[in-house]
Amino acid sequence: MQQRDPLGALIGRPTSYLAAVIIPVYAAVVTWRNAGDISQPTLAVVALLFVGVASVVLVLASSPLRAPLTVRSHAVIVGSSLAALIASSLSMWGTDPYARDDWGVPVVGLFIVALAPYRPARELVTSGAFSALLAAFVALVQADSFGAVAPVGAFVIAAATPIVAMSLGAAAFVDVLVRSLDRWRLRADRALSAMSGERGESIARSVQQDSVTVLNQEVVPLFTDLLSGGVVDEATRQRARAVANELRALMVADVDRTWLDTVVEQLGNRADAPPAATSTVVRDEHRLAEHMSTDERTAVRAFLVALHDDPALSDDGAEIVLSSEGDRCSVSLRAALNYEVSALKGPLAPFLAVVRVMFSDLQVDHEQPDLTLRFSYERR
Amino acid sequence: MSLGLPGHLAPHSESRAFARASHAISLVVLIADLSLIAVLQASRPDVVLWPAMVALVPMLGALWLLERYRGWVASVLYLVAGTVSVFWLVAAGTSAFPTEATTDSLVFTLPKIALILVGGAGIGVIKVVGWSAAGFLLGEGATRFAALQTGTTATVDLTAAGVFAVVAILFTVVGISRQRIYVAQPSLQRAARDEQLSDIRHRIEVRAAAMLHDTILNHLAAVASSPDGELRHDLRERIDRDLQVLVGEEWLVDSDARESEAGRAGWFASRLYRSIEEARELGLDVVLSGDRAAILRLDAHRQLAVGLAVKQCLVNVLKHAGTDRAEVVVYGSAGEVSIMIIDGGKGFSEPETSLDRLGLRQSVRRRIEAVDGTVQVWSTPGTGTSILLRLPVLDPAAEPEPVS
Repeated sequence: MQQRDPLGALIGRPTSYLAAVIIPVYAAVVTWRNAGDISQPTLAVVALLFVGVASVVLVLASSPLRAPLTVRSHAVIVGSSLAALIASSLSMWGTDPYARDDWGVPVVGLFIVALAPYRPARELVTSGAFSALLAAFVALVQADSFGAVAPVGAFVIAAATPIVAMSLGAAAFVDVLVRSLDRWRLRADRALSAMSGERGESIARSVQQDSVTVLNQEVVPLFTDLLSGGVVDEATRQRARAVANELRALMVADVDRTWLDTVVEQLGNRADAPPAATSTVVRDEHRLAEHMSTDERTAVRAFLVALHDDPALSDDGAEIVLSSEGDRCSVSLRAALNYEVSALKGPLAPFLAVVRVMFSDLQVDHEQPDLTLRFSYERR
Repeated sequence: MSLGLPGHLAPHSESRAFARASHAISLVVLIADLSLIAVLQASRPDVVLWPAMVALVPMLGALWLLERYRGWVASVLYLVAGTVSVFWLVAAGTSAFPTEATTDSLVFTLPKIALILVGGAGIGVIKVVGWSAAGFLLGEGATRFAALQTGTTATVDLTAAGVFAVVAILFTVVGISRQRIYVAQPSLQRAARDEQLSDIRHRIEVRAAAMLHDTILNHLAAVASSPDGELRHDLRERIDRDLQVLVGEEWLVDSDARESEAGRAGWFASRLYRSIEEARELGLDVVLSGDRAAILRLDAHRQLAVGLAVKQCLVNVLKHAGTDRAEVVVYGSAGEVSIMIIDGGKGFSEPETSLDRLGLRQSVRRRIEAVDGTVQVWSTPGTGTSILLRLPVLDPAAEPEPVS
């Protein structure tokens, strides 16, 4: 999910914060309410600490700065919550009247639900099944020590059901979203390739027109002269050399232009272009911009458009510098942005979030009015 | 790009996903409840508890209907059936265990959870929370009414209240969060589209530049080195032909179709064959070896790119290497076709050829890279040059066509 829909995962992010606060609070409140049933207070504290660990890992690992949340983080979160379940059961061993009001089992289920925006459905089901088996086993062993009189099977069902239900629910949620994402992607790709076909032809015509315009200036007159019976002499040879050099220079300049230059150029060419758009410069001697993937380009392009649409951008525009460090290329963007608040909270915030999803090492400094973005990407 | 669902579709998918998740959870808790009742009945054969199991059957039926037809009618039907089931279950349970059963026992809570997670029709936070609130209130109401009938004291079901609170909080937070994030989405979709168009344009520009390089610049060089007097006949013909094509025809638009026809017609119609023949006409002795049929496994774009790039390499051998012999070797593997152009000439070092770098850079390197291939050059002054072009085959399963 997180990789297929970074925006979606970003939307799920506040729920992770919420889970990380609500789950420990819930565990603490229930522990306090059940204080009378606890025979081993140390273990009760240890159990709460494990819940704390799972919450902290959830918050840290779900940060878009560290995306994607790995299977390892998943294992740590679910593992800690299972450890909490066991410690909590042990803290009330023999003194627990009934498992019904214990927090251990629901907490495991809630953590699995909280992982839904980040991990695939199959993995959620697997960790749900494993956790449910463990919870059932703990209940089975503990059954004799419960104060309430009920068949062992009832305790086992009561222990396993919340985890099975919540993990299957989370998996179903992810499954539907991923499927509809895939369907949408398929449709979008089809629409795009249809567009490429239609537009490809008109783009080809416009590129050809550009070439013909260039040829018509010098090349065509020279060749027409020669073809219509002209003879070669020193002047013709010199003219041919001069035309070739001009054409070559033009082509080298074209070849050296990257997509980033084109984006900035287009920003300045718009009819309603603010003065900033024409002042923005790209310094990329080694054409490093070409090493960015399509997704990375899209994120940078969207950010640049948003930045130049922002009236707070000073007329000096932005300066984008690309440099290479070993296998990676670094980008630094400087601009003066006259905001009352930090850029991280202003209208650029969602675009910065998207850039952050694509470039996990993004650093944003905004010391009024100087905004600096630094990020890097792999050379491909 | 993985931009996710567009803003107008996301709430639809989320509501559908929540409904599916709700129904999965409901199914699990209802089955668990049936098992729980069965276990209790088995352990206490003296009390009559099985009617409580029957109470859950209409709710399971309504759940099936709701999952199949998630509309208003099915949603309301589910709430009604669920309310009746909860009432029936609590009534049957509390009369079977008048002293032990409390109204918040797990047996009664489970179907109430299924009622809260109705996942009813409609889209958006308000509707989702609204359906859940209705389920919660109906479940609690039915419990209290049943308790009243059997004379049991009704207690507040904290678990059910907790489940409702989680659903309500979760959806409110997601709703608010989405509004904040999706502001950026239309711009992102637009940027993605612009990026695609810019990529298409770039590829076409590379093709155009390579074509101009191969034709016009070559002709200008030929003119610049022609002796006084009339232009050579063959040069005049080539200039005339290329000028007509470049200025008069749609050489960028239709080339795909023309080349793919050529691709289907086998090796002798391939651009690589033509390039080698053209180089031979210019006086180069080209030895071809290896699996030449492998070239036909490339799509039309790549065949064209390879053909023109090899032509440029061979022209370079003629112009710069000081030899009239070159070898072209074609290798084919499952996912890749490689072409190596080898000469025993003077050799060069690539960075030092900056003045005339356009040929190797534009007509070979950029052209091959534009169709996702790679170019490697091994050359040292005095020991000749080998240039390796490697191109991916799109469909590795495709069999090479027999050489005609």
